[in-house]
Amino acid sequence: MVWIGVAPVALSEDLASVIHASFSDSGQATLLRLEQDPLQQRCSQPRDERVDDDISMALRQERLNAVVFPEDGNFLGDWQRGAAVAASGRGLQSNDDPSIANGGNCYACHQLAPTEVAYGTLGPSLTQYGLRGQSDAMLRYTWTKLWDTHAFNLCSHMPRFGAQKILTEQQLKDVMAFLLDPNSSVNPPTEGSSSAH
Amino acid sequence: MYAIGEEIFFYRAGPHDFSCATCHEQSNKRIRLQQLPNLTEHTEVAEAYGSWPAYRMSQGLVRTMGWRLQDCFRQQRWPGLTFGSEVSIALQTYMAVNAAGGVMTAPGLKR
Repeated sequence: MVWIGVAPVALSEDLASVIHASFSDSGQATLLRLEQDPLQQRCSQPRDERVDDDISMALRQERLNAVVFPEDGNFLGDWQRGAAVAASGRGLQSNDDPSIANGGNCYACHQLAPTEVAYGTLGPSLTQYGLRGQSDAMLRYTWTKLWDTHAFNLCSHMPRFGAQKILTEQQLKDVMAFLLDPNSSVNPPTEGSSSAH
Repeated sequence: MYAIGEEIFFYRAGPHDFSCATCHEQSNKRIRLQQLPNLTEHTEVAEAYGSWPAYRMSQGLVRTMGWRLQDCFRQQRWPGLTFGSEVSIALQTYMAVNAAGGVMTAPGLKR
């Protein structure tokens, strides 16, 4: 089935009432979480039915304009702390304690340090991400992907770690270092490399 | 009921923007080491749906598909799904219809 050039239909009142009647507040996970923002509404179609039209372009630009970069201009934190953030899947579930820091759960979907074999495959492997270097463009690109992936790839499955306040600015910096620091376990020396590890 | 189930399957919400489809609309993917069934594809949904109710070894209990859905929504960071609610029935109808003609293998064995 091909879905052609029509703006997504607003949720029918029927469906909204069915959804609201089927859930109840559970810990920090309240019914408010069932309300969709324009991005969620736009991205609630099957993969083969999404359209790349003016509305999508505008939405993507809006996400890009809303990215907040580190106030002090420093993108890179501590890669070892970033490794811990990448490994933790806790946070924001109804049974999670909101007073404890959230994790990024990066390994659920991505391969990172090759020493961790329990990695998911919903997202691409990020092993040796550091080979991409630390140019200003790379720093800003990587930060934007973490902050709000939809700024580049509308309807990506990846959560908006910065825009949705899943991770703090410091945690994002630490994950940045985990990806980009040459000494990070994501970037082990490759055979024949002469780097001083 | 099927149409409602299908709409909910693709409905993204919550702080992580997750829907059922986030994990279950592609084949040959896994989360950590856990293989994920593509519930939009007949063969895979038939195998998954047909294996519930299942004995959950880590819990020492037989669990229903309704329980499995409730735990999915917890991981999706959504509020609590009510057992026997319209969403629960609609999603099970969506899976059952996609799985029609498959073989029931319940009770399954789950980690």
